[in-house]
Amino acid sequence: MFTAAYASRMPVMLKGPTGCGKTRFIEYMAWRLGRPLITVACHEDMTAADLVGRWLLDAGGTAWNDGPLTTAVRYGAICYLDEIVEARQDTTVVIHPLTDDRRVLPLEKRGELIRAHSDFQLVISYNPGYQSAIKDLKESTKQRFAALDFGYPDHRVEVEVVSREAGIDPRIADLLVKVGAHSRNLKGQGLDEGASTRMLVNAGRLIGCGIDLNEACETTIVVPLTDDLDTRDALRDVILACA
Amino acid sequence: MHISSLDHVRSGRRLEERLRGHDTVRTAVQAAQRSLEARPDSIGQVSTWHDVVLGLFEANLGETVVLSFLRLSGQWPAQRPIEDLVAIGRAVRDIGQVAGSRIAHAILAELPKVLTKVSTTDELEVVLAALRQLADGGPESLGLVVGRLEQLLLHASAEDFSVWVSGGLRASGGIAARRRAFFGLDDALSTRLLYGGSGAEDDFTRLEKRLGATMLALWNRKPRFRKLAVEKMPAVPRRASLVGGLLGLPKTYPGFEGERAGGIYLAASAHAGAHLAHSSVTFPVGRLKPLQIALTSLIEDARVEALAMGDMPGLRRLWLPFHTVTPSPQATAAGLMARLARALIDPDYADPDAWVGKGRTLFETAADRRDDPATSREIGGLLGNDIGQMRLQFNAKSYVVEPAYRDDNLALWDFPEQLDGQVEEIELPVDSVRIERRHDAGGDRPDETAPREETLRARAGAIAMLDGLPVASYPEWDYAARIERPDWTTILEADAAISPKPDDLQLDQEVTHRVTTVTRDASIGRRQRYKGQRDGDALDIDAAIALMIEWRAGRAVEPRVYLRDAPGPRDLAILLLLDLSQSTADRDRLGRSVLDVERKAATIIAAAVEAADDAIAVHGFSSEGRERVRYLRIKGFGERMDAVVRSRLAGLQSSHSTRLGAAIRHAGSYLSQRRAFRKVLLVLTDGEPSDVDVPEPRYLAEDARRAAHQLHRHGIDIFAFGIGNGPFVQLDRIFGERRALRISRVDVLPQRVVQLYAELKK
Repeated sequence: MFTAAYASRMPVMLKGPTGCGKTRFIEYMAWRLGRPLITVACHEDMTAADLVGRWLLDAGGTAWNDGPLTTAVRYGAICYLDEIVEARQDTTVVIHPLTDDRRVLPLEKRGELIRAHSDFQLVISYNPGYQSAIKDLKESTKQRFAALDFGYPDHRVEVEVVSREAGIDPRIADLLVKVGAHSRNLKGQGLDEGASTRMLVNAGRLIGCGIDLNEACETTIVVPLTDDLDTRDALRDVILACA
Repeated sequence: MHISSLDHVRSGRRLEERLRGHDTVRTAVQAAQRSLEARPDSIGQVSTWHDVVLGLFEANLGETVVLSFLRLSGQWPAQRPIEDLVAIGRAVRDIGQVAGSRIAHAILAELPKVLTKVSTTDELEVVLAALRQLADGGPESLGLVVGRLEQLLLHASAEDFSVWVSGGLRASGGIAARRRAFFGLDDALSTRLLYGGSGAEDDFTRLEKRLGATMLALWNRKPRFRKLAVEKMPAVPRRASLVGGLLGLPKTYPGFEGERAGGIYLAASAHAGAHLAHSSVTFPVGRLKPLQIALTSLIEDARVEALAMGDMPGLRRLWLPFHTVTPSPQATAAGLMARLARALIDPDYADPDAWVGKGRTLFETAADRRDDPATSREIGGLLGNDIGQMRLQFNAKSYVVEPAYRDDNLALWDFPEQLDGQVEEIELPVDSVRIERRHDAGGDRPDETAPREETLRARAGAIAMLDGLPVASYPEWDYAARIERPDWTTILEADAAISPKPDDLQLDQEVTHRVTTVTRDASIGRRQRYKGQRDGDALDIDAAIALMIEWRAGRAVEPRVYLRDAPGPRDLAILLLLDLSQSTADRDRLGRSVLDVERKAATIIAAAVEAADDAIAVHGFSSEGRERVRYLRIKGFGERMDAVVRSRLAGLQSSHSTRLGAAIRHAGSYLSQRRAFRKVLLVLTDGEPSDVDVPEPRYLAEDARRAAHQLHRHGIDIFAFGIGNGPFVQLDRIFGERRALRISRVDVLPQRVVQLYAELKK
């Protein structure tokens, strides 16, 4: 699907809970398509200038410095904006001309209009779960993208992922995945998100280093997930029940 | 000779003289003094003791009281310091003077019985202080308490006792009949406060939230929990019950209290979860005998547990510790069944009994049909016949499911008629009468809300609701006892009534104009540009040129040449809380009441804030005891400042008192639902918090202070405006000096509020 979207250079939005493999997926796709990947982790204070570029001072005067997005547009890379909703609203507007049939990036500060390189593609990721409604994407932004919905992999696949990534016995991985699946039941009822595959891999890695299962889960799952004591106890109960 | 001894000779002589003509007392004094002087710790204490005896004698409580104190002195235990005796004497004199000699005498008769319980000087002081407090606040109830002092202190510590007494005085709101009910232990609150401590909960309540989360995580089901009351001496131990989707759990499992409670509650809810997940059908009772029902249930228990353990092997560790039965030569039906239950879950358990062995084999043979509940019926039926042939007695009345974590299994069966008893015993949680507060949807007109209120009224049943609906209850902080009393105040909420008379507020045009200008200025230019930054979105050309000049001239200057855009004024949500207590009706020299000023200020401020596009709500409150904190909605966040709101403002009336803390908490609950960069609660008041059931002014002030602190911690800013010329001693204490603003000239109030508003916008 992604290959097809790339073929027409359609902007793509990856949706899904944290730690389910969105970033891993885009890295893989970039590798498979043989395209350079520019990843930008968006944060709250990120401005349009951070993406596009700005004038800087050098010894002789001012010099223009391309931002990561501009670089991708010029040289034809896949530009991946991770957690786009975290960025300020004006940032999202910058990408609008790139995502319709114009495929241009106006650099107003420099008076330049960059036509996108034919290999350029824009990918954003978006976690609908934990952001509050105020941090939703604008409708005008949303509608420009083709969306791929990511969930946690099904049990068998997740076991394989955990056991391979962490280098542990599939039986232990199976157990960790069960813990993860149970914790996801608590989503919205004490937890913002259940344990992600990434967390399970982390737990597996500690176990691989010879750490006891309960302690490993405590460190990588129970404590990071929540500060609520009752919910922590419930997670411990889950680990106890599954182990 | 010690100086202290001299003292004591002197004080002894004084007492001697005073007692002339009262020979019985004099002889008793001498006897008691001799026994005290024989003690090693008597040095320096005897003269104080003389004073106490003298005090008691002069308090005119009658000779009996003095004599019983002297008797107590003569028998005073060697291990207790004389100070304690002195403290008792003083307390008896003080209390006696208020409550009479019979009470004084009763205290002297009862106190010795509890001395073992009240073992330290501190504890004794606490008990005596509580008795003194009761003598002051409710002398008529003192007899009730003193009479059963021993019983009371058997279960409660001195501290609990003191909390109970002060709580009782507070709860009864100055009404003697309610005090008597409380201190006579005829009041549910009374027993709860005494035995439950203040914040102490039973095991169920403590664990409920965690169990809910565990159930949800393990089974992806969120059961509704119910607490089952446990009688003091139940005929049959209480078991969990799973009726109608409700998971009833006993409020305690006798034998598994406190620390050990976690395990059994967890095992019980995991077992219930296994039923919910795997007991897919109910069995018809038909003509089955009680024994067959019990056995089928037992096999079904084992079946669902086996299925659950297939998914989650760790569950075995939860359940096994409760299977403690061991083989015994004495075969009873119930005993064998408990052993069978263990045999089915514990592979390491060996049991020589043939019936248990048969049950195990049957169960294991059915392993490939584990999903089929019918196997439970079959095996249960077969095993039941065997018990019948073994001629073992099965007493269905006294039978109870073992081990303790399993439920009563009533949910497995389809009983022909409605089972009574089980369901009725469910203790309804208090919140069933608490009505979900509907969201502040905005645009509510009284004619729309009226029918809704009607239905709510019907649902809330017998509660009298002349002043509004009980929408919430809040805790209150008792600074003296240093505890938070849960669900202490009840908020009765309603939309403010619309006044039939037209709104007669004559608004000062000039003030309105000034105010609107301020707000408008505060909200324009929403984004601000910061110059001279080290880092930013764009170059500040002037600064860059200046910098280049400096550099070319060979001077090293910091390159602050960027411009940065940052959001300007932020959006606000303001809740204006008006004090509507009786004192706001007071008028000043010009004949304006505080309420008039509040009303006018509210109108101007609301209009101005609205013009600046921020959300503002106007609410008011007054109170009449902790159960009636009235809370009026005058303008909701979503409502426009229109004729309806204005006539609501016009219809406001002053009445009753000022329970500020509860009102602050409730207002906070409105604000916390808002989404705004800054949430602000503005309180307009004319005085200090007070209420009819609270004699002590500091109590409510401390509670309000705590409420204000809590809101502050939740990111809500609170400011208070004290209107009038009052001293407002407590206002600073409650809100903090910088947040308590005094407005002595009432006409500047709107301006001051709006100035504050402009500040907040920056």
